[in-house]
Amino acid sequence: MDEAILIEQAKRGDSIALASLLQANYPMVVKYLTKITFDPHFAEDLAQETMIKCIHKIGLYNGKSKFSSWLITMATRLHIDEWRKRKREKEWQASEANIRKIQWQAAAMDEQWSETLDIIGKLPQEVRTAIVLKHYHGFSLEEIAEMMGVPVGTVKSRIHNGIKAARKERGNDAETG
Amino acid sequence: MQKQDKHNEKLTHNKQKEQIEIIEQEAIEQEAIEQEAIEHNIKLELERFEGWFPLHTPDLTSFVRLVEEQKTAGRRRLFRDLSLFGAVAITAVTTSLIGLAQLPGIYAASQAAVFVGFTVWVAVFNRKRAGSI
Repeated sequence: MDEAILIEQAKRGDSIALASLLQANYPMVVKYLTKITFDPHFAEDLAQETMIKCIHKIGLYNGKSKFSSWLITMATRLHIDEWRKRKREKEWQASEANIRKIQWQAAAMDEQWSETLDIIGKLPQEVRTAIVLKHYHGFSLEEIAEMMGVPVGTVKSRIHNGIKAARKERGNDAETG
Repeated sequence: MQKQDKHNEKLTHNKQKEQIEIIEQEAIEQEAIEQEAIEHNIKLELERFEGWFPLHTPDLTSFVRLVEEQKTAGRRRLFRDLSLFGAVAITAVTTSLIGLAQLPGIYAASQAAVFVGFTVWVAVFNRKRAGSI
């Protein structure tokens, strides 16, 4: 069924229409969160929280952006909140361990852990999120700023810094290699 | 002769300038190509990366159950909040009415104190805000 019709029905309280929308968008949300967290389990938890938030906020969806973009915005904000909370609690040491875990998993699947993935994985969370939104999903700087709740200039500098770090890393590797 | 030398010097200078401009332009183009390659590579690698993790999407029944559960929880929460608000409001109104009936003097004095206090607080707050702007 057409997404716009499902959204209208969901806003009027149709649980099956809302469940269908959530089911159709669930894989996209999990994949997005996996790319920004580099932690598939955490990504699934956050995706479920995003679905719950969507159930409570569906009445506020105004159709200005695509439904998927609206979900990505909620997922991004939940991730930022969670990240701040964990950082405050000094428990955010998962990054390195996650990368090692994924590297191991990649090796077990006979997949190559590339230099690019290594660079992306080591980027700060907020920089990685901006890069994924820009260079994977193709959102504009204005849209990303809205999603992350920061000024456009901040998004621009985060993306610039991320790409600069990637170039630098590649340059260093080219020199040593 | 001197004029010819100056002319030649100027020509050489212009040529050098042109060469520098060409080199700079080439460097900018090279940088843009490199940047594009990095961005393209990021997209490709992320596509590859997301494919490594098996994704289990629950069936529609599970989503329907989740929606129903959340709606019920939301209704309960709303009812609880409204009840709490109602209880606090009734207590406040009842206390005021009892005060008005039993001790009208104290009631009037407390109302006046609250009015004056609130007015002073608003004035101080506005002045502070105006000062900070």
